[in-house]
Amino acid sequence: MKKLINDILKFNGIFIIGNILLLVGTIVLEKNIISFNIPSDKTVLVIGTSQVASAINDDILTNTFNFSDNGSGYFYTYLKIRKILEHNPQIDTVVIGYSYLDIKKYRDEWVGKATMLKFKMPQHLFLFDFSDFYFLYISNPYEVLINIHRTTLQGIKHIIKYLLSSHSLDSWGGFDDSMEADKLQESKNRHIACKKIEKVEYSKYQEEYLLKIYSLVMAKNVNLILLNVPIHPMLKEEQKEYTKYYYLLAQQKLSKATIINHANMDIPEYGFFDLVHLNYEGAKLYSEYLKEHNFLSESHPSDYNSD
Amino acid sequence: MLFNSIEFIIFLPIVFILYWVVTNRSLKIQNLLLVIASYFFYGWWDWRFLFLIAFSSFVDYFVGIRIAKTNDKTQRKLLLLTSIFVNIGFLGFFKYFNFFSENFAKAFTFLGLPITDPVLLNIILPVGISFYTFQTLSYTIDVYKRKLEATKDIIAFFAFVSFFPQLVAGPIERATNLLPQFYKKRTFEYDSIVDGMRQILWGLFKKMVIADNCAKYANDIFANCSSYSGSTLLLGAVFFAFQIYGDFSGYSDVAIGTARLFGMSLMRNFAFPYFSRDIAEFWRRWHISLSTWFRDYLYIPLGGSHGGTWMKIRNIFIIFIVSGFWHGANWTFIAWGALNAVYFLPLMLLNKNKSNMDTVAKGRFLPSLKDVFQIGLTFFITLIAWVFFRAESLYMAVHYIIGIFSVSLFSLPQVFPIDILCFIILFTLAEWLQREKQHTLQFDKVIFSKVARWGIYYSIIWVILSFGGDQQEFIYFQF
Repeated sequence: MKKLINDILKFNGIFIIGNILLLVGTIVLEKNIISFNIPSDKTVLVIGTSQVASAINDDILTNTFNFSDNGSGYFYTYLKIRKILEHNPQIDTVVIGYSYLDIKKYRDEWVGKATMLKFKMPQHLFLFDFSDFYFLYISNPYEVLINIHRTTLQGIKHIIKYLLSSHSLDSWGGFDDSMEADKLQESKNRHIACKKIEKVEYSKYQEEYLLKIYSLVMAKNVNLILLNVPIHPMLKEEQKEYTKYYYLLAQQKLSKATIINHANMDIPEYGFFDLVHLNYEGAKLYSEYLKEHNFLSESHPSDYNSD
Repeated sequence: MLFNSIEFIIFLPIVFILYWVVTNRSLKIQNLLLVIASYFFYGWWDWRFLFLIAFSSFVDYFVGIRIAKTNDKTQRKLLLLTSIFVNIGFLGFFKYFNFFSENFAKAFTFLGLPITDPVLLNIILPVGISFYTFQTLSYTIDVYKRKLEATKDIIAFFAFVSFFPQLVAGPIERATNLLPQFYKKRTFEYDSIVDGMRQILWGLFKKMVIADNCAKYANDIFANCSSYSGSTLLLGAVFFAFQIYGDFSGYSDVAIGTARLFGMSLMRNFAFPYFSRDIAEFWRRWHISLSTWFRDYLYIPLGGSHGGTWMKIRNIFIIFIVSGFWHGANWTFIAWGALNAVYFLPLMLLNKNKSNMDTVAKGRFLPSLKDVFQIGLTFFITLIAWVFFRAESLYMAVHYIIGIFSVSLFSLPQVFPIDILCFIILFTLAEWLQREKQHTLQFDKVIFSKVARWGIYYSIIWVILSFGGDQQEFIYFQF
């Protein structure tokens, strides 16, 4: 028995120490190899979830850098903004996605839910400081510890991909032009089938990190735009439920930020991938509209009109 | 409680230490600890069904004693029937009631006597009921046949019925093998325990890396089979074949390995079945504890391979169909069983069902061309049968198989996860290299130094933690 316990302790000790060394080594490599310097002509940083990733084509809006990514709540968005602002003093405007979906309660799951943690945490761990790690840890201690291990492999993959793709930051976000298949009808059917009276509840994690983004951007003297990108008219009613809180939060706690509300903008049916995402055609129409009216480059009054 | 869960990682060392350090001076207390641990293990899923196991155990314990006490043939038979009635009754009620109710209604409707609203029960199937029912039945049958003495040690008997490593998904132990182990003092054997740990590790690898990753693709391809090409459907069947093998044999490995931690030896349940050269060999290597159970308690009492040709055919069909039906109350399982009977029959009738009794390419690294062809053919016909096992209906299974044999079979698959396929190839290679051993991680200490062995363990753990798929319940829990 004594021999067995000794062997088990020795085996586990080596495993834990070896893994910690591998993990730290990978994080150090990621921090040193991956550069977040973006082209100097990119002065507007656009960042958010897949909604923003699929809506803004930064080939059309040439001074913008779309760094949005699927499933990235404000927590991961904050980490990326912090890193980009640190390395790119030319950035004068940060545009973040701000739709009613971003403040819904279910977005809390994007922080602590196992399936999200599994992919998102290893992808971003090298951007964390201790408080970020602690924030994530208390949301789901077990899954955070289990998934730390995946960081080593993910990190190595990211480094290889980064080096092979001439230093592209695609692994952490970009304009998503892959939404080609038409899922609109399917999405409509599902919306009708699943429609239920929802309790209006708000995400506490999203709000916490939204305020951190605000403080960070203000501290750097950079303009902050809260952009509500177009969604399908079918969601108009549902959206209304959240409007009051949505604007109240912006007016009271994000007073220096500009709200641009294009949620109800007229986009033809062929421009939608599903109810919440534009497809390539929709992104083209919307990006050209933004460009034409200089929405992201010039200052505009906040638009609190939800109708 | 799942083997691949954090609860089990905490539960197992606690029970292990209590077993070897605290209760090791008294056999009775050690057995009692196993009963308590097993009931806790099962109750973690749903404590209400503990009463079912306890009731079943009580009935068989007392029936066993009564059978042993009497020499009256009628009374002995009545007692045996009581045990069968109680055990099969529970199984039938929980597992098959709705199936029979629905099908009777359909049959009456077909005959012009429509039953529009058949009685259906809204109940959940107790996990592992098919396994522990068969295990406890083996006890009463063996006592009845005077192959085993009835036990008076109620704690040992309860431990035998509920022994947690194999309670919910087997191996289905025979009372003649497992029960006597509860009478003897167990000794702590370092080498055996370490080998048990190795088997657990390999079982977890099979489950978490092979089965859980294959499940993702198999589920998707089977769910959307009408939109996939023939080659993709074939690949989907391959994924399911590895999913079910990794899942079930992985569970068995963890169960056998866990039992060894407690000084107990469970029967082998899988012996590298995908290297079988014919379907008879496959069935000697797949779910061995169930196949031999049906052989001993159903096939042989029916006459086995004795008697005329029609008798043999009848017996083969009965055993395979019942085996299929044991898996679930659905026509797909019955079709799966019947198809295997069809595969088996020619071998049986030509007296070739025992032509491949030893390990393939024994003592050699590479198989002969004939072996390769036979293994390939056996695997292919098994794949076709798995389609019935996995499909939700007979219609879907037929539709799926027709889809495989379409022109698009010769196109590139629409789904081709290279990482999973690499894992399958490496896994198959490891199993091939170790096919003459009891399990894949059974090492010869002379060949592998401690550094090499630990290196292999670390690599496997690393792969499990890095590549393990999303946690899925073990497939055989539903049976």
